[in-house]
Amino acid sequence: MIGGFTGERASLHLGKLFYRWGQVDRAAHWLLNGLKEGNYDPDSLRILAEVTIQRDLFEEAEQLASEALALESDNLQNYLDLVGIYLKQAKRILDRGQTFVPGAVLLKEELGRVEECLRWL
Amino acid sequence: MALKHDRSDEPQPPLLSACLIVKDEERFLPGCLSSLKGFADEICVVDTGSTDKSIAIAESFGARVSRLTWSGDFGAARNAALEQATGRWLLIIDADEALHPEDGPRLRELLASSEREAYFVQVLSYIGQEQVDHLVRHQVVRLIRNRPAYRYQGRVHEGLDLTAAGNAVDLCDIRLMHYGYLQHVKRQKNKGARNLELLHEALVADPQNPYLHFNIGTEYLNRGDYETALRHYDEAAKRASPEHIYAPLLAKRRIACLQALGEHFKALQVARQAQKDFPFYTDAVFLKAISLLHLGQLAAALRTFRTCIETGVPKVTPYPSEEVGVGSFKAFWWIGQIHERTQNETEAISAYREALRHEPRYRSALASLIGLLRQRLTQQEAALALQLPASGGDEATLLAAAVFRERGEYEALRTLLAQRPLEQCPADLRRYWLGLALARAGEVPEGLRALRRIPSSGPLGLLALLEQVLAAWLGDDPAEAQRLLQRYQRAIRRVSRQAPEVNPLPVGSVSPGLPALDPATAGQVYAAVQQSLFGEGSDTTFLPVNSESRFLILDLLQVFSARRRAEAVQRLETLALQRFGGLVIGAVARLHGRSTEVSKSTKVPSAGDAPLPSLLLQSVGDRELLTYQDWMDLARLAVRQGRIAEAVECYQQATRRDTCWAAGYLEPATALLEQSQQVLREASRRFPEASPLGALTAALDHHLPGPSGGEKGDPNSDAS
Repeated sequence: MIGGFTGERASLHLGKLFYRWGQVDRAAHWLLNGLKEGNYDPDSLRILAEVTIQRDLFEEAEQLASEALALESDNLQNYLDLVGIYLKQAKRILDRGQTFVPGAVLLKEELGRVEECLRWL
Repeated sequence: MALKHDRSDEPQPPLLSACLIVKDEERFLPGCLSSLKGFADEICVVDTGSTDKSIAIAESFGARVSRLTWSGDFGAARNAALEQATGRWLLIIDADEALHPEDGPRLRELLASSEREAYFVQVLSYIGQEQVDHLVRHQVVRLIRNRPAYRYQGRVHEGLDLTAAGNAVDLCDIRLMHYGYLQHVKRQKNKGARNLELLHEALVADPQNPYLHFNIGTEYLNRGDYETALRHYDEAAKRASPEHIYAPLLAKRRIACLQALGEHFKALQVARQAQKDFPFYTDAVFLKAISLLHLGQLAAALRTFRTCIETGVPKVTPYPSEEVGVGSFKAFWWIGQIHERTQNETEAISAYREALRHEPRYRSALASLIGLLRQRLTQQEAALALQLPASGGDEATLLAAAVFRERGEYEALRTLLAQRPLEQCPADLRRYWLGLALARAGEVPEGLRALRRIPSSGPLGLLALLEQVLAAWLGDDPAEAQRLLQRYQRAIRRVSRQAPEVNPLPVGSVSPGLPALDPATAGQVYAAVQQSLFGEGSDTTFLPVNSESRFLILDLLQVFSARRRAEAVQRLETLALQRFGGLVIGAVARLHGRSTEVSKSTKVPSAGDAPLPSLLLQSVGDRELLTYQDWMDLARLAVRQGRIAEAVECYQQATRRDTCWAAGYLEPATALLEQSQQVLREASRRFPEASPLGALTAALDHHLPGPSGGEKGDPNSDAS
């Protein structure tokens, strides 16, 4: 029994519950446990992708979002999540570029465009 | 031997005596003595124990030769040569130097009417290959009146005592060409080890001497031991005042060490101080600009390079060393680099053209210009748009040809040579380039015809035979290629059997842009060709890791790739990665990246499956050795293979090596936006009615930049 939950998918349920309560770290802990046990679904993958992207782990976020999309390709949100990850990663790279090459106008313009795209998500 | 220029009825001492000390200098001595013919009235040679033909060579030029037992004291040997001289003026010259061919008459005019006691001359040292971008200028006192008071002191870095000359020492623009520090010669002579030993002995006796610390630092700098060099330079800097004649050079070398050690902030501080201490010392300003660049202060770097150009480098300066080009073509090249970093390609092209206007033989500017032109134009268009300055003559054409060859762009090479047909070149060199360009561009019979006219016994013989092997093989005549390969092998044996003094000089010494193909390297390349063309032999340990063999192996890879010979590419690539690892990984990635791109646009199959960047990286022992450009090439290969996550990782590695290139950020961002587009296209197909998709797709489609970027950046907006 884990936190009052029992059964094979206890980690998964607990993770989602913590997420709804706004306790992201705890949610990630249990959802990752579930993932390791092979207990996951598109919702849990989307949550994990969101958590990993907050920690700048773009590659992991992309894998999670891609897996969610593969499991549930008829959900528009999965496509938008994946696009969001790519755009956020591009933004992070361009932000860094702005810091080191502030004179490159093209970088600045590209950053503006990525930000504009992100507003549509 | 003397040719008297100053004839007079009354007997008077000759005008000029040349004084040399020699030991086993048969290689360079003829060049040195020939350059003096007609300008020096007598030549005084002190031999310190030659076992080669140096003495006979000196005597054949009419020199007065005396022998001295070597006691480890350069100053004493120099003085022995001065003692012999009877001329009114003495030119102190080394056997590995030569009087510039244009300066003999001016030298005599200067001395005949001079009221000075001594002159600094300009010593132009070739510090790498014989190319203009490896040329350094030093001012050294080498012309003195023949007076007993003017004698050398010091065992290693001997210096002339000119106290008695007072202020009557001046600068002049007479040039001595110094060949002794060409790298292979340097290895042979092991000058550094000998000097260091003597200098350390002297330091024991005089541990506070700043000049000794300076010279020891320089020996370590030449060995690439920057930490030890810096320690000695710092010691010297503590004790030497800015008035010391070597103080500007000391400052410059301290900056160079700090830069090599990655300590750019400290380097900048030393450079700023040097700029105050030595006004108009362009070398120091130039190094300051490079430090600014490394610190990411692009606008300040740009301004500082412009200052270098405004200051320029006077033909005669009071400073002991000037790197050639820092006040002109090298500064322009760096300005081009800054514009490239900020994606301002039009300005970059303009800066590279300006660099070439000042020095048409500047290879770095040629390579950069060609790189940018090729991003916008086809091979033929790029060759036509190159517009080399006429003043560069055939040498500039040869360098541009070498750049196109290294890039595997044989259509461009053929177009270039049609436009500028090397009319001033020796006939064999012209035939070699023409044959190579034609055969590699697909006109094999015409190419072979030109190559066959080159005698195998001449200096280009081995390279021409190797090219014929390739041409026959490209013309699908493997039997002929085998026969020619055997002929190539016999030619190597023949050259090897010749006595060293009649061996042709390595080709690289004869013509710019060609590898130095000595018999040993030629033999090893033979084995590599045999293996890659015919799959014979499996031993890959024969290939030495040197720049010549690396050049030739990459050159072969370019040919195989351009002509779509997948099997040969695979064989040779395996060999190259095994032997050279990180030294060739960028080139291999670039080659595959381009091959994949060409295949996509032409629908012609590429030369074998491109290896994954992660697989290529397995051949690299220490990834820290990979450069910004290596990682960029790997990243671009990954992008072309659709492996975006891997590409982004490679781009990150690239921008860790060098943070100040906009391309390192722009390209991964573009790749990610393209990924987004693909996902959105798939989503639009499945959800044609979904409203956010249309707007987002339009935003992405509209904003993705074109393939060439092409938009202007303004480095001036950068905060310094």
